[in-house]
Amino acid sequence: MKTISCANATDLIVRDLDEGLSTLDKSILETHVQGCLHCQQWREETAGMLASIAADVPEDPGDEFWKYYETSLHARLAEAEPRNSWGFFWKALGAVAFAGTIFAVIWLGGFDPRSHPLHGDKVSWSPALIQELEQLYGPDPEETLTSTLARDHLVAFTDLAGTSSGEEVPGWFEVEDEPNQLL
Amino acid sequence: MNDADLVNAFRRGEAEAFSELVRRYSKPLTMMILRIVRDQEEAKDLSQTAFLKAYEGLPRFAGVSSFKTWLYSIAMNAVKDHLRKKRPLMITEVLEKFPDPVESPGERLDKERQIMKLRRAMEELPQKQRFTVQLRIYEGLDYKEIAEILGGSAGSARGNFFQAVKSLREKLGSGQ
Repeated sequence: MKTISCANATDLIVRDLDEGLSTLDKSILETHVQGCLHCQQWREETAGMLASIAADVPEDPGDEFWKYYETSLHARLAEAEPRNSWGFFWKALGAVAFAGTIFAVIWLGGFDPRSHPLHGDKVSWSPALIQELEQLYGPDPEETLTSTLARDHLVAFTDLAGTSSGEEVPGWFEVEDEPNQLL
Repeated sequence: MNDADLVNAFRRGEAEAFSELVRRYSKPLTMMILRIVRDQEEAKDLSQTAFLKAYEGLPRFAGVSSFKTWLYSIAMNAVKDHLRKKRPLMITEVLEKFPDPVESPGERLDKERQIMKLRRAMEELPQKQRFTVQLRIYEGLDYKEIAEILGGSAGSARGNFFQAVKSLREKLGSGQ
């Protein structure tokens, strides 16, 4: 039979007391312990120590404790529930308030997409732009190439978008047919 | 209904399912905590805190481990936080907590000293070893379950128990 050291034997003792040993390991341990007083004592004391730990159990607090436990836990759960609901409420309210603020800034703060230069009635502002261009590049009838082109493009764009002034606006083909005054 | 069925029922909105889980685990969980903290009110408070956290976290519970090990891991974390803040008990406080009128004061003191020595040796263990001993001896959990509660592998949990027993033997010495 294989012999083991006391260090190995104490390892096996702990394993034996905890989960048990295989038949082979158990026989190896028993052979060693039978001939070793130190390991016999170590095994007894370790078994006693584990039993003491297991026995050091506090008493059950009693029925009243458990009744109160359940009541107070449900009270704490009920307390937590509205808190969670209020959390959701405030989050939702915050989202609505944010959306409302954005709406107010866009629609009530003076921004009107109908008056935006890229939208709507170009006829109302196109002459002003032409006037500005004329101031920059020179007066009529000696129009500069830039102002002529600008007018042509704007008039053509207005015709495509439609007008609200009721004035006769030349169509794209008519503008195309006009002789270039610079040439 | 098993725990998984109750968890699913709770997720479907059946509040009573959580009450059933509380009925199943309130006592064993509180007693497990009581063995560590040795104070009924603290144990009650800690186990209720664990249930509250479980209640709030259950919709996100992945179900990788069992509900029991998940609940116990929440509780052990709460206990760890609690122990970090708590001062050690004085022997006079322990005597007041566990009075036995049949024993003489001398006998009582000897017995309590032995218990205190054992408890102190336990408290001096690294926390993971101590909790492993608690879960192994009192709860009878296997090492896989202990690993799920405390983190790590079953092998490391087994190693922690082994080391704890060896350390306790050294601390308590011959004849304890």
